[in-house]
Amino acid sequence: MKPARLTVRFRVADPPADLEPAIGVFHRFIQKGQVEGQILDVADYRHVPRGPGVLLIGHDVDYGLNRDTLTLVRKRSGHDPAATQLRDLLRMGLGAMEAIGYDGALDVDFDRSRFTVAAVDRRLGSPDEVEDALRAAIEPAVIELYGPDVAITPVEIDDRRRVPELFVEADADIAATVLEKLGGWKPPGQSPWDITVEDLVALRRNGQDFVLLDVREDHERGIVHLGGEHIPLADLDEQMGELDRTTQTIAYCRAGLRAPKAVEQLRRAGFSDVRHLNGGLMAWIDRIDPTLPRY
Amino acid sequence: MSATSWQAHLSGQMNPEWADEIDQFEAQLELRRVGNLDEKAFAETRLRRGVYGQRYDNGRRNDGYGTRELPLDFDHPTKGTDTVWDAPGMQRIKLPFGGLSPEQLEVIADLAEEYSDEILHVTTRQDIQLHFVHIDDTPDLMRRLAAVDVTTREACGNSIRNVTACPLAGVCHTEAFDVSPYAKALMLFLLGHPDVQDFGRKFKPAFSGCETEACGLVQMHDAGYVARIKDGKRGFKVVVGGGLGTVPHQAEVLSEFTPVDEYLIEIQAIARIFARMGEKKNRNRARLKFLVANLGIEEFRRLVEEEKRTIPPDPRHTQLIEDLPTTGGPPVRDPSLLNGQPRPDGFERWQATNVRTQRQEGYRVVTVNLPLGDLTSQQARGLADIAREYAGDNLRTTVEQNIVLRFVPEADLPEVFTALEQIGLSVGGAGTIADVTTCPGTDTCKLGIASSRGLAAVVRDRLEERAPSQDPSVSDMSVKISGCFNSCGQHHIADVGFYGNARGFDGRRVPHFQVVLGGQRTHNAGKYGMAVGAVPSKAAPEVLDALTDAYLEGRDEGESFQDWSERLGKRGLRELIEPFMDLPTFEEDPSYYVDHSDARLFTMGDLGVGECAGEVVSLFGIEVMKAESEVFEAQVALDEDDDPAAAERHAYEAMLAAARALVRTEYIDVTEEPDDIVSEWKTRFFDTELFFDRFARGKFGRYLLDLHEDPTPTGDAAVAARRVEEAQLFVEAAHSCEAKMAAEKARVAESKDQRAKAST
Repeated sequence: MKPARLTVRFRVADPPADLEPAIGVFHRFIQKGQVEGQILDVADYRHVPRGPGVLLIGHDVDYGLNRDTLTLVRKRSGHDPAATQLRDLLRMGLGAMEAIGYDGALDVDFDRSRFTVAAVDRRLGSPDEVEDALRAAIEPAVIELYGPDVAITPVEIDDRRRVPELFVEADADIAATVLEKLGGWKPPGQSPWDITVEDLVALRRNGQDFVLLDVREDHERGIVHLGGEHIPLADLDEQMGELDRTTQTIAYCRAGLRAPKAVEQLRRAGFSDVRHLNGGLMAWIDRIDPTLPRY
Repeated sequence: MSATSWQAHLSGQMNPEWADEIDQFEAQLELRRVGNLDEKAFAETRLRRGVYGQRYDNGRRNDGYGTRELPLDFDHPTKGTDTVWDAPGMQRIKLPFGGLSPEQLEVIADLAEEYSDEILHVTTRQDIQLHFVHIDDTPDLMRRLAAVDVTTREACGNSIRNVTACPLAGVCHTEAFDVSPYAKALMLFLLGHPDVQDFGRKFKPAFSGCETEACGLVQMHDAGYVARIKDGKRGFKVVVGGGLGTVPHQAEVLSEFTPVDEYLIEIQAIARIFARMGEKKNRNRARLKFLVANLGIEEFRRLVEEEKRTIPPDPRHTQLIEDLPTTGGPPVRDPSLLNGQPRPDGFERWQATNVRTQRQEGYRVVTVNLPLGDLTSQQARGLADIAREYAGDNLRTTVEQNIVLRFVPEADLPEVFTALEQIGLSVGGAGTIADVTTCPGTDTCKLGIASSRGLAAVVRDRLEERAPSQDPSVSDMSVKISGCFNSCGQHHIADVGFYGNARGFDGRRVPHFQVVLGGQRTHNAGKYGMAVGAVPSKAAPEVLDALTDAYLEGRDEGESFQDWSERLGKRGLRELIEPFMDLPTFEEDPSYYVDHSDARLFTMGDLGVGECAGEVVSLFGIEVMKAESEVFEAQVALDEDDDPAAAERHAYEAMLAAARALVRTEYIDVTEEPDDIVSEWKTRFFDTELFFDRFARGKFGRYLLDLHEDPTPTGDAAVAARRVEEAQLFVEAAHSCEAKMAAEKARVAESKDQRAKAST
């Protein structure tokens, strides 16, 4: 079965008092590339009663958050079997929960052990046919992830116009391990060695000896910088000889995506203490110095 | 489990002409995808089918820090100027007079779920729009609509847009007669009509049953019809050249009375004049209102009369009137009055604002108040159920972005209220100040400057909370919001209108709304409001409160908001909003630098080029596309379907279409008869050698002449392959012929110009 769309809905365990912060959370997801998918825009449907709430709209996936559910819609992936689409959605959905927690602006809790799955493609046949086919298609993947005791039951829907849904209920402890099985989630651009922008302020204040290394392109450097050395990431291999391998080095870039790569390169080359500035210049501007130009 | 294609699944359920059209569109889509069709020509054909661009479709978006490329595949050909193939788009679904059956609503609900974001959006022109639709999905989407008799054709582009009408038509107390069948007849008559293909800009018609009510808004339309009865005969007062836009125009009276058996020929004459004389190059001055203003209404009227006499007879001019199309089913329940039925909580308040009496005794019109015109797929299905149970085939969308159910027995209102409550659609306040109208604005429109929907949502929330204690004269006011000066939110005809703009301050851009006060909806939008000043977007809700407070305090007895605002005048009104015009610096309050419903710093960097008007492509350009599609079909028949006979038929059709495209540049009324086309083409283009190639001379032209002698397919693969090849060459030759003529025209114009200069 290869549905044109597949939907997964997780229940919100503890609804947020106000959904408004979700708009900011989703915009930051785009700015910082914090969730998977080809993400395009944020749509605010909070005014629609029983509506989708706030949507993070992508080319290949939509994330929707209202007071009751976190909904994921896999789009334009009809070339993939339903099981592949489901694994993608689970990884994306569980990852988004982590990302929302990491962002911190939205106080919300999710139930990771229960969700529904639906194939939203009416070319596939009658509701009964689709229900059977969907179950057959996803059951092995669900058992592999959630263990043999997982329950897959049809959702009672008395409306034949709606697409059938399957309800998956798993042991909470096993459910807690699923994201790891699917590859896990880490803050984007996160290397195991990072410091926050607040840490950097402290380092400077304490007069500690360290090298701040800007790994962005020349034209970016021209717009704004935080001082220190400048070697674009592409030239790092060639020019790293200019740096001292024993001094602590803090690499930074715009959003925190390139600097972790620099950290890995330098560490591989034998630098003893290299870290990267988490969130990059954008985090610095957001939290430390909002007067700097954004780009 | 494999999926059946919608094309196969719905075959036989669609109007064959519409089905063909959609197949053609799909072929053109394929041609464009592989780069074999010009981007402008494709954009035109796409817009004509309601497939619109959407914000960020150039593949770039400002994320609050800077403009970035969206993570899309940029390798495909574009789908219009600077429009990335994979970028999200909007699909407009045309609903003449807002008429909608439960079944149609259900199909649109499915489409929203499968191709969009599960939201159906009712527009200010009674259409329904779906957003974030991928272009590859549009042919199937159109097929599923066509199977329930809905078309998206000419929902956008430079053509006749949706024909709107009063949603109470047929049940209204004050109407002369039910205008809906006439609105539908006009739509059927003009849909795809050859005379409406060559406009320089869009054309919007509207119908109203009576003169004084707001519902039809005919004064702000290109062509407006007000029902009148004269000597027992039905007809219309016809007005032309109205419109909102940047420069609002009130329509002028073309005819005090046009009998119903003449209004179709009259609109055809208007269309021909607009196509022939309307501005084509400068789209900012291309609407009919500019032509009418330039010519003067007397001259325009004279031209229409003259044109009417030259139009070839068409049986449809009268047939459509003798056999009027149906526009709704019979009521499903007997009329009955509310009498002691238990009334659920909140019922009375809802009834006071959302229920209207209708002419037919015992029945009521129920307005389903949709916040910002939005409803979900699941709500749409629930609403279809309610309609089936209580109202029948009698749903109408409204220009206030709501849906009405007609022929609901009064006794059933409590049940209807409860049923609506169960699907979250029992919001009261329809037609009150809280029922804010808005265009899509920066949410999805490429032209949007400020967030009209964001502001509308805030205003709506505040007003709803206040509704129970609101002074009735404030409740009766209207608020309409547009994201820019183009007034799709109809801000000119509201008591309080807002339209988005931007101001620079503290080295940054700040979203603002211009405040437009005292517009009139009644008398079919008889008076436009006055702009009194721009306020920061974030202050706009407070401004609204200040205005209503000042009105309540300062009004004379019985004075309406409109009269009060007129009495205060621009200066007096400006004083009221001035305190809100001050801006804090970014350091003092950065929230002013971020728009409603957004978290990014405000920017105007996302503005795109609007597709509202569509690309202006020559009549030849549009016509020759049919030929291109036929060649494509021929190729497919030959290479993929192994059907040489079909390939030969398509090849012949391709040549005919290309020849006809040329003929129509000189002789618009040429029929579709092959004999006529070939003979006209021969006299005008072959015998004159206009069609001749510099080296091959008449070679390509003779392909058609030879084939036309006996077009019967041979079924022979080799012959078919040759014919397909010939058809391709013939279409190319038609292109060069047209290019030659265009160059010649330009040369003549230029030398005239030079002669004129030399003689002065």
